[in-house]
Amino acid sequence: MTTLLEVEDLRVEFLTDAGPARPAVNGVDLRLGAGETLALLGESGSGKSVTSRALMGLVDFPGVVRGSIRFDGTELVDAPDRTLRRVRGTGIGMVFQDSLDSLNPVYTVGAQLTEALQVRMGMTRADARSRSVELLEAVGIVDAEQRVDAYPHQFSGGMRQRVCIAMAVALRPRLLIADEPTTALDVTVQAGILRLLRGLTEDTGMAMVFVTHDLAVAKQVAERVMVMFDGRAVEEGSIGNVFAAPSHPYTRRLLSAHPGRARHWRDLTKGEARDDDGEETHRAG
Amino acid sequence: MQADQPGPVLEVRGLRTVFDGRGGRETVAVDDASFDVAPGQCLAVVGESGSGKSTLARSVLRLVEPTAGRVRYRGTDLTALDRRALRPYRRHLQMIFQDPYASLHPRQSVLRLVSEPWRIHRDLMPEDPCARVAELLEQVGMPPAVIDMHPTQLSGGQRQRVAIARALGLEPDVLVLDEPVSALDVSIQAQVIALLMELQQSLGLTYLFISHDLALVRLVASEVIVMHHGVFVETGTTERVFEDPRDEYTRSLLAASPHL
Amino acid sequence: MSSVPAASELEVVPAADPRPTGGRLTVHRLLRSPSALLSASWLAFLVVVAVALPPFVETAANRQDLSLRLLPPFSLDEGFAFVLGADSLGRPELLQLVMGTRSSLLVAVTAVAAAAVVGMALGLVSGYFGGWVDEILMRIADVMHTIPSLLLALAVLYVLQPSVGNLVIVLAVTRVPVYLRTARAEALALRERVFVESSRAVGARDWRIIRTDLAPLVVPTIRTVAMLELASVLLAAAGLSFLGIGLQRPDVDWGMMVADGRAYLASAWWVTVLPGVAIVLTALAANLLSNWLRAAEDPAQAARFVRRPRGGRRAA
Repeated sequence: MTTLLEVEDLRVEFLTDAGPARPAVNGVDLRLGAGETLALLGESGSGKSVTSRALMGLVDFPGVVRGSIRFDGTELVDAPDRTLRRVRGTGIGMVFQDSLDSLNPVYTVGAQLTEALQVRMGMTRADARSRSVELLEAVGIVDAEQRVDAYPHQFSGGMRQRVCIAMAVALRPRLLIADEPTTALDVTVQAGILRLLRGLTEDTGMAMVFVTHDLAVAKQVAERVMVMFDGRAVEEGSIGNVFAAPSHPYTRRLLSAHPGRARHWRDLTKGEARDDDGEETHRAG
Repeated sequence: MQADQPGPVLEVRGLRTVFDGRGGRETVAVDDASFDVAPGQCLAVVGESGSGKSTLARSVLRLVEPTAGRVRYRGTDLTALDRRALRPYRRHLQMIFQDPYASLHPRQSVLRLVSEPWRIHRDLMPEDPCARVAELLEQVGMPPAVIDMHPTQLSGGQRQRVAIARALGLEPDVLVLDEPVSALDVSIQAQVIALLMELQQSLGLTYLFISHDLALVRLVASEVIVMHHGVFVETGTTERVFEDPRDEYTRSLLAASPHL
Repeated sequence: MSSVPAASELEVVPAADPRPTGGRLTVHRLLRSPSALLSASWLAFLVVVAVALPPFVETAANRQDLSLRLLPPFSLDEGFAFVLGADSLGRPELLQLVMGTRSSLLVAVTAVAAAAVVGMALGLVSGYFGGWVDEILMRIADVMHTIPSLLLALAVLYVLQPSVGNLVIVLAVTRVPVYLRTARAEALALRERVFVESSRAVGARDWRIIRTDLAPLVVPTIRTVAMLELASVLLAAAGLSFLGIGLQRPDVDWGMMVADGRAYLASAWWVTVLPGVAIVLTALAANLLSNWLRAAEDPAQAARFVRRPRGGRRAA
């Protein structure tokens, strides 16, 4: 498998005027082959979201990114805006947690889709429009022919996230970064979105970095997982192996704390007693 | 629905809450809800967003005024009391909110947050409020050092513990837990759930547990109510509902929740 | 209770963070912002002058000496009191300015404080309760907004006795709607917050919620608005004194000094220009400080206060 994304020693820190900054990402290495799906798993403050934003070049000052992010051979850290613009969209697509925030409320979803297609893919207006309808159909929007002229607020949360996915994949990116795309959604809606993403990666050969805090969700979409804690990757491997036999104490605790695995509520905190030392070594670092 | 046992803590009958919408359109958030909660029980209400489960919790406590129906707490009809007469009863029924980042006043210290309710229920004011606050903090697993801190200095799990200490200070009988851990990380969530369950056993508390997380409900509740569009679609013991779901919606909910 | 899992196992209880927060962070930022520091220093200097000096210089300030009439400034021949020259009645300009500082600040600060307290209280009540209380208060505020406040002040002071007390009342009343609207808008948002519901759940009455939950969170905004208002009230007071319906002699404020000097503008510019400069500088300082304070206390604008590291390495 060819390497699509190669991250070496990624460090991100946010400067403040009130003293030294604490690194949000502290030396992360990552390698992703074409068509592969990686789950970036971690709790709040683990640096998983900052990592995904750094991959898209979306960390703004006062955030400072160091290290190397190579996408398909192109270095993205400190790259000029022109390079980043070229990579975004056609190279890397992104789906965020808040679908309402990522769509422009004053344009119809069709207008937003066709504009991207016309500008970036050089399509004619008519082609772009029919392609938009196709895309909306592909992400499971019923009655796409009519819904293409609806405004973002006229969609439910789950449908809006589908529209966001359609926009992210419209330019046929080779990598999709999904940052907690189902966290704000109900479980029944979430199940549909996860199936959709899974299907898209299988059908198009698109690679995906799926950022999540939910172990069960990670298991549904990805074959590989990278567990993050305190700005570092503490464990990486195939999701089956990691979940069956976690080597890092933090991963063990995460797994035992998940209610899906426990038989009694007392089981939830069972992972804690023995790994205080693991905790300490990572705090100290 | 459970049969009328001698002395349920809460008896809810025909509770209905209607909101006025835009353009005179009404939304029935909760429709004809009836249930009992026995002392020391943990009754869970599960449902997705918009199911009316949060409105049900707030209507029981009259934080939202129900449109119709009765809520009896140990025989007293709370819905028949005026606001002044209701106030002394509030201490017996306390609520833990979903988002500990929003439910604690950002400018108050932990000491103030936990002791504030005693200024309202003056008969509960301890002789040494500081010492009592420290005691309550210990009870929820927090070191006394946090007493002078502000919520902004605490993590989500720590905030939720402070919120629990604040409620416990009123020596309540019933805790209404509105998604008490869904805003927390999974490892912190495990600790707060363990704390809540320990407290329930040691203090003999009665819980009304509102949640969307089926896996979690299965671990903590003895009985479950499944809500959908404001109505109860299924009620029963936790074991029965999970092993043998009878309603179509319950089955789809169980199927959709991701497994590890 | 021995098995209760402690919060500290996973979540480290923060030790006292050496990095400044809240008020200390504001001071920290103030020391690094030249314009804000200069503005704050100027206002602090005026307060010290207004409080400390008048008892010592009051007699000398009002002593008239026609032989020193319109004495030019920047000469120490007649002593330090006359370093800024003398006015048309031979009163030392420097000491007049000192006395004027006290009156101008007293009128402006008192009027602003009174308007802020009353406006905030009404705004909180209006926003929290809503309904007919809100309707009535907002309609009154609307009406007051349509009448130019200077015109209203003029009319009232023309009918009433022009005095310090009346001047303060008139200036305060006309500025109340500004705070009322601000406090109301904040109260409208705050009353929907969960901690208000939490207070209700423990049995707090409405008044208690307004006092302990809402008010402390509205104060910072009101303070910023008040700082901005200080500039406009200072100018309004100066304007009224200039028109002769503000303070009356022997009291003196900057506006009155400008008015007194206008007949001699061509021959003795300093009598008009010096108090004018005092008004402009003070209004400017209050404006700058107010704008800066709003940014410094807004966490969303924290990035503005971070300096880019040397070398200008751009963030990706």
